Amino acid sequence: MSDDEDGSGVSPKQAVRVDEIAYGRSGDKANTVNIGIIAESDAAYRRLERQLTADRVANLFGELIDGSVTRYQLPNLPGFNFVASEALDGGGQFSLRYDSQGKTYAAAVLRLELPPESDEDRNV
Amino acid sequence: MTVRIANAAGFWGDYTDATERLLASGAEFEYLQLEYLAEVTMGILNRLRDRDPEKGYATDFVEYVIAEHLADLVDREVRIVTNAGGLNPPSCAARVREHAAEQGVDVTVATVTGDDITDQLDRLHARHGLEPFEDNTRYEDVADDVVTAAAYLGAFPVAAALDSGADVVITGRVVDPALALGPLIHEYKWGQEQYDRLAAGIVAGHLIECGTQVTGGNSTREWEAIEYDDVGYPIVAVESDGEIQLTKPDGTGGEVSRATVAQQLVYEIGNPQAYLTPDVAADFTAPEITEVGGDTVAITGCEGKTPPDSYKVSVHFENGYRVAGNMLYSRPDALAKAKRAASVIETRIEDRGLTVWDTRAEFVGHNAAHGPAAPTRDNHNEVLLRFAARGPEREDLRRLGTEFAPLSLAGPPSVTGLTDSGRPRPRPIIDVWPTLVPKSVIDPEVSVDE
Repeated sequence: MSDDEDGSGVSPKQAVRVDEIAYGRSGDKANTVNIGIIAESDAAYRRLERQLTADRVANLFGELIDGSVTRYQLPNLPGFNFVASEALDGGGQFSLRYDSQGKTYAAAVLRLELPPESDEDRNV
Repeated sequence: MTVRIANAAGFWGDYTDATERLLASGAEFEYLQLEYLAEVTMGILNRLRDRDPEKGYATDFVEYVIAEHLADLVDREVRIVTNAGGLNPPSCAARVREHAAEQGVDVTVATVTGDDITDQLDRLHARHGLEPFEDNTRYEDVADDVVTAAAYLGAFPVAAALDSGADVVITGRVVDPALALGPLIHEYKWGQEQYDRLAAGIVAGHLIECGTQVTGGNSTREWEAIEYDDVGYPIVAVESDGEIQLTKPDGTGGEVSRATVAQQLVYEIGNPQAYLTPDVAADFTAPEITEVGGDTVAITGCEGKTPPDSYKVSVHFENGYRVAGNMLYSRPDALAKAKRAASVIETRIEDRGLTVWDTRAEFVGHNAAHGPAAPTRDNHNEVLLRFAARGPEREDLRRLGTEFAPLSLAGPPSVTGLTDSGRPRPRPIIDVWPTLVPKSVIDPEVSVDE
């Protein structure tokens, strides 16, 4: 299989920054943030499926997210929706944060660096 | 037959000449949809209605759409659907009628109400037990401080208003996509159990409800190439079978592509398999998005399921006060200076015995947007200290607001920016407590001019 090419020109054996293979947008509902990440290709989607886990997103934000992160899949886009609860210091009005609505959270995820994968990681 | 719905407002604060630009573009559409109510907007509307019982609606709608363009819209046989009514649809409708009379235009105005359940909350809680939606806050914790509570109504009352011949439909709180689904139900007579059709209307409405955010605005994909001057407002063309085409007026800036549409599809959603509205649980994992050329995208294959048997309700309640102030520090050592200034404010709060629940120091240019998710740097050219606090007492936070300016003489050097900030004043926090109520307890009301 020539999955090495990844469809986005980035080999899974190389590190990749999420925004090289995806784009996205984030927003709020009360104290919840959602981060939609859309893959540039099916290969990119599969790599994100393996590597851009809910845990990795939760770890990235650290103290900004008090609750938990759930990852939903949208294979039609293809993409993901990360829903982070208790993620806005109380939400829109109560929050003391400048970004009280999580508008810039997607940009943070897009700057995440994903490590190289071995064949084993990919079950090849 | 195709029904075309244009949007000219994605929130209260959007471009005030959006309708003017849309009309000047020559684009054709049968419905104009304007969305004004964000969660934070309801608190603002409440403050306005407190000061003047005739207010409490989105005045931008009356000022920049009705006053300036009603005659033109009626002339083009465009019908208007908006949630500009906010907390006071009747008053908003009265202003529209006044302007219509002034312009010598004959229009039928309708309101959709019944969303405001502020006065029924205690009774509903006694009978049904209002449960928190998000965290463990109980109704009893917020009950004494409630200022307003609104249920998110569906699209059928909007359709009923159009069925009755309304040219302008003014709602209070409805789910945002209902402003597009309502006209589609009216035109195509979609039934309450045609869930795939209803889901298509929800998807169409969801895609355009934030205006230019679906036509290139805020797109993270190859943003450098997007023309941000005069980004076109979106227009959806929906067929009776639920096929959608989304486009923008010719000759406008922005972009309509798979990428811009996909990003808006995932905006402010939870579980994508069940985007819940009172009319349908729309499955956002079903639609296929295809570029058909010329800044036009097709969205096909929408699917939906049985809706929940409850309405979502936002209960807005007073929850203390908040104050925030800024100081700008320049190089060298801008970040270190800003941090020292923040610690001086912290000490002063303690020394003066000011009561605060929480404080937060953010360093704009360093970590205000991404906190620990941003890489650590030093050697900033400049850093804006933003210091915010909340607490129960307005007076304590007013005093805290006087702690910024003196730092320009008494704190770390190379500081400026007082002309912008001076003494920031505290504002009441209108917080939101989301909950659910059984559908049976809400009676949406449609009122149409005789």
